[in-house]
Amino acid sequence: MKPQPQHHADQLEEILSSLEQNVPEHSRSIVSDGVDPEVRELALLAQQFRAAPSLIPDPAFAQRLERKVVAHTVRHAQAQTAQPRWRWLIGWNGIPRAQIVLAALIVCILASTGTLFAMAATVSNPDNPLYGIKVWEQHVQLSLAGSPQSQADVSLQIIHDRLNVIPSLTGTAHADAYRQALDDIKAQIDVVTGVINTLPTSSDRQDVENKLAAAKSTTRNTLYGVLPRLPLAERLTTTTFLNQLGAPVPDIQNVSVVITTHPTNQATITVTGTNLSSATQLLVNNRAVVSDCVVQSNACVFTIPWHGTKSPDTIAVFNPDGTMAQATNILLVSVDGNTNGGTNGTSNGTGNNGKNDNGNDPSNPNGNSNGNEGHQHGGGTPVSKPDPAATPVGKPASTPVPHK
Amino acid sequence: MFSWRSIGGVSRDQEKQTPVFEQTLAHAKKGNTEAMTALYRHFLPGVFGYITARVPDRSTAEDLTSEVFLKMVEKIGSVHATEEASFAAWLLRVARVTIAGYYRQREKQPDTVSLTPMDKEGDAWINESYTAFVNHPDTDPVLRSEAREDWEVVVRAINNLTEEQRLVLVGRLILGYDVATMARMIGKQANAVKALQFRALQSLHRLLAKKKPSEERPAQRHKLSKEKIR
Repeated sequence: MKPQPQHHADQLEEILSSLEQNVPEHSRSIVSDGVDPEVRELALLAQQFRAAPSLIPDPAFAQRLERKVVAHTVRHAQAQTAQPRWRWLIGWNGIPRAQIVLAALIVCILASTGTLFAMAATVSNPDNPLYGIKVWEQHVQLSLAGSPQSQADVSLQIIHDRLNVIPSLTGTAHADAYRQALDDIKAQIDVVTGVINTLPTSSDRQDVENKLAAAKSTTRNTLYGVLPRLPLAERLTTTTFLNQLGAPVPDIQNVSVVITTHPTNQATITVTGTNLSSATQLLVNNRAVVSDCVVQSNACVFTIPWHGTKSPDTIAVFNPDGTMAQATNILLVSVDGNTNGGTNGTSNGTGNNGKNDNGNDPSNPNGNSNGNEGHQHGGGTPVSKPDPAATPVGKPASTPVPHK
Repeated sequence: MFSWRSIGGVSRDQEKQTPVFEQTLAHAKKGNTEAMTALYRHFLPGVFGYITARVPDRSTAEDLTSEVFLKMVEKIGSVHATEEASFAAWLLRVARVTIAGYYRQREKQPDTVSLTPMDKEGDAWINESYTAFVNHPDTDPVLRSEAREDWEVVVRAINNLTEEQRLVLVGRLILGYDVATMARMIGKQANAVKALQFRALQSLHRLLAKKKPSEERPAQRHKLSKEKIR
């Protein structure tokens, strides 16, 4: 049983439908028994409303408007044809369509993001803000790499990118960036090595091994190229890295110093280690000293002018290829024949951070030993280099001593 | 469908020969004048009836109807509707917005003061005119005024209905749509449409019973109010 309101609504609808279909009056339910009086009244009202003359448009008006509509249709069609092609971008009310605006916005964002990444990919200057994006992008690529081979490819690409950047990082201002680049290269070499270890013996593995060997070779060449321009600390770091890459680099096992004040003020410095040759040069207290290495077994013996009895703070050697090593232990053997037997042991391998910067004899802390033009005197007698600006590392005649 | 009251000599037979609505609509969207005319003829009674039931006078209804159909011509290309019920719903939405715009505009306009004399002199003028047209329903100002007043009451009553109730009344009684079509038009179940129709007529009946101007204001029959002259 339907609830009464719904029953009435159904009754009303039944009556209205029968009226619409021109059902003969005698059979209409509007007059039939059992129809609720209210429903009957409402049906009559609906009939009156339906037949209200006010609701019927005047035929003259209808014809007038029809002509107007036709004319407007023609005009509108002509206007549409004449409109520029981009008109579809604009809504009927003259406002750009929201979808178009949204799509344009998305395209702009994607394009600008794509452009940003594309621009970042070409950046080689670490000072450029986009360089950070490039590094981040590469790390994302690395983490998203699906297979070991593609991971190796991304790592090798990173290595090449860093090698491209490194020549622009030789200044002291870029020391941190330079070290970061070296660390990245080391890390990526480790990644590729790890990938190789996971691969079974196959052509793929061989391919990755070849690529890694080529990358290492390129790395060595690049680092040799930048070594002469590097500050002391970075040069030591680079030498260590070259050693890891299998390059021959000097290595100091120990250093002994004999100081004599009579009849001449001089010091005999014996550097024992590997990869030392007669072309090996000496650095005392981070200053290049012109002195020939007299090779004895696996040692280089240097004799240099020396004032005072204080042992040098740091001793380092460098080879003509720019690689260098620094002593960590200096043994002061004797002063004027008196055995000393102590070591200063304070050298940390990074020099004295350039504090000994007075341009004088490395043995003279007062900086009052000047006038020596850096030339060798007395048929090869080694002398200290008083002017650091005229004292090259590796190239004693022209390149200034780098300081950290 | 296609069962509306014919206008301008278009008979029911002619209407039956009208191509399927979807095709007509598609052609009209392409700017075909014949298709546009067919749509216009098809929807004129409904649109006019909907508007005239919402505004106080016929001339306003005609103006707004013209406006609606000109908008139809301009916007039909962007209408997503492809079948009759949804197109009718769209067209009545345009009509509703047009009516709302008319009422908004009317609210903004300052009240106008009638220039028609309201004093004895004016009454004399009315009386003179009155004798000439008395007992002619088309020209008799008294009968016309009464008819207009009565229709204003109907309009006020219809304006008091909800939009859904109005749509159902216009759709069922003026446009002649069946319950199923109305249900598609307003997005409700058939029973809900029947209930809306019932409640709409109930409300209309109640409102009309309350406001019978000829019964309420017999003395003011010939008095032209400020509002009516507007």
